[in-house]
Amino acid sequence: MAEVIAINNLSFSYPDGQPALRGINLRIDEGETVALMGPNGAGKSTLLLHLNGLLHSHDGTVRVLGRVVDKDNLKAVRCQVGLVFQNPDDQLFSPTVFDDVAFGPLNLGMSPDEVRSAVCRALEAVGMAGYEKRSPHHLSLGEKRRIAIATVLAMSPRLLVLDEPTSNLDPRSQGMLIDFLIGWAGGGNTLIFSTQDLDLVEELAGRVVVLGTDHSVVADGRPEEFLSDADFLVRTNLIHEHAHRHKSLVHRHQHAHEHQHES
Amino acid sequence: MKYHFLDQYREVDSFIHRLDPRAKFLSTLALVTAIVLVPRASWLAYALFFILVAALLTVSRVPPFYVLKRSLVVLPFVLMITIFIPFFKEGAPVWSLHLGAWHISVMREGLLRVAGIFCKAWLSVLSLILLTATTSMADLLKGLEKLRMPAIMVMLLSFMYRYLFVISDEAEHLSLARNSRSFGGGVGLQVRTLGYMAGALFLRSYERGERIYGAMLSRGFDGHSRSLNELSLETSDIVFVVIMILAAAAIGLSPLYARMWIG
Repeated sequence: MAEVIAINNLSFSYPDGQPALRGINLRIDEGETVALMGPNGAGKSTLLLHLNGLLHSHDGTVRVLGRVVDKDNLKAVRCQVGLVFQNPDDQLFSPTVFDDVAFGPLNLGMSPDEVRSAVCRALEAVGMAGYEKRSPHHLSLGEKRRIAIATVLAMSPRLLVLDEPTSNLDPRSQGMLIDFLIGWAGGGNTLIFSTQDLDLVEELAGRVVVLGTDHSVVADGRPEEFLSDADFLVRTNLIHEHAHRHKSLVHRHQHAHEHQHES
Repeated sequence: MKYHFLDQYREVDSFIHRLDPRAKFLSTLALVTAIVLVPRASWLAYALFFILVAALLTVSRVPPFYVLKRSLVVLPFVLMITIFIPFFKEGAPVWSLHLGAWHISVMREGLLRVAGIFCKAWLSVLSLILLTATTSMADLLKGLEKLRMPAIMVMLLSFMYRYLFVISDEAEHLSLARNSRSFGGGVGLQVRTLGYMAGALFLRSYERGERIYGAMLSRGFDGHSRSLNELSLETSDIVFVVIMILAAAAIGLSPLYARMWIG
């Protein structure tokens, strides 16, 4: 399998000195579906931002499709890594959906006809055809998420990187998003996403990478290897355990860390 | 939350709505310039301008009550600027007050000037409402871009339009959070809380700005704004601009002929 991402001994601290990543080594091959898990503040988002050079560390290297990410090839790398932010309001900054999806293709220097067909294809792929003229602030979170994905799909990236793609979505929007991602991964495409949602991991991921509170990789393997190991899941804060009292009977049981926000 | 207060009636279809945004912008510019430059106290010219704008508003099928309501918003500001003019303008006093050594007089010339400024301000605002109510913000921005307005200013306006509502939602959340924990307290505490809220809003906007810039970079942004040329100037647009410029100039100069004709 061809190597898509190779991270070599990457460490990163934010300017205020707060460490975010420590000695990360990771190789991801073409066609893999990787879930990045770990507690809040472990560095999941920071790691994803390194994949297209939005953050850059002098300590360690990130290689994308065989090229070390540096100043000279940033634009080329960013076109191949489709990064979708957690909050679609950050990703959708144009007055209309069309303008937003066309932003990437225009920056790639496509001709007007190519831009139009790229926008059309991307919106169709996420099931949002017909929304071109709408303005992003009138859409629901689920719709915004799908359009945020369309904005990077329009650039025909080699891999998709999503930060918490299903967080805060209602069940139906989650379902539609997961169906899209299954389709993307099923086509042999590479997918990397961060999540707290074990159901999503079970449904989608071929591999799980867990970051710990010490900002390093504490586990890396197939989901079957972890998902049945309750002790491990509790230890790495992927699920938590608490005690219940039923009349006089006290028993402990575990919860998956799944947040369903009512909205 | 849904907001539509800027271009609420853009979906209405009329001859004015179908015009190219550039044509509308240039016509509005000509109209406002003529209104501002017309000599003071040219009541006939004001009336003619009003008839012209009212006719265009009727053709555009924007509800008159909406226009009236929107147009009144600006008058308090005009009042604030003009309130002292009647007291300082030299001329015939219409009302005076003697308080010992103090003499306060309201001058006829001053009152006329205030009335003139009010007319001009109101007519200008009506013209601008005609423009904004019949043009979607996205089209208006495209038009400005095509008219060679500097890209950075177009982008600023575009971001302002896109995030105005996001930020006002954030402000609303902050004030909900305050209200749910605030139980009176002195004015000092309230003012301090307001200060914290303003600070929080500023920080959040600043951080959001950084994330948006990251999202732009992720899609190949390199400092150049690019867009598709989807606007097309029809003959009717050019005819409209020419007629509007001629009409604005004719009304603007009407006090001169009136003087020649009478004198």
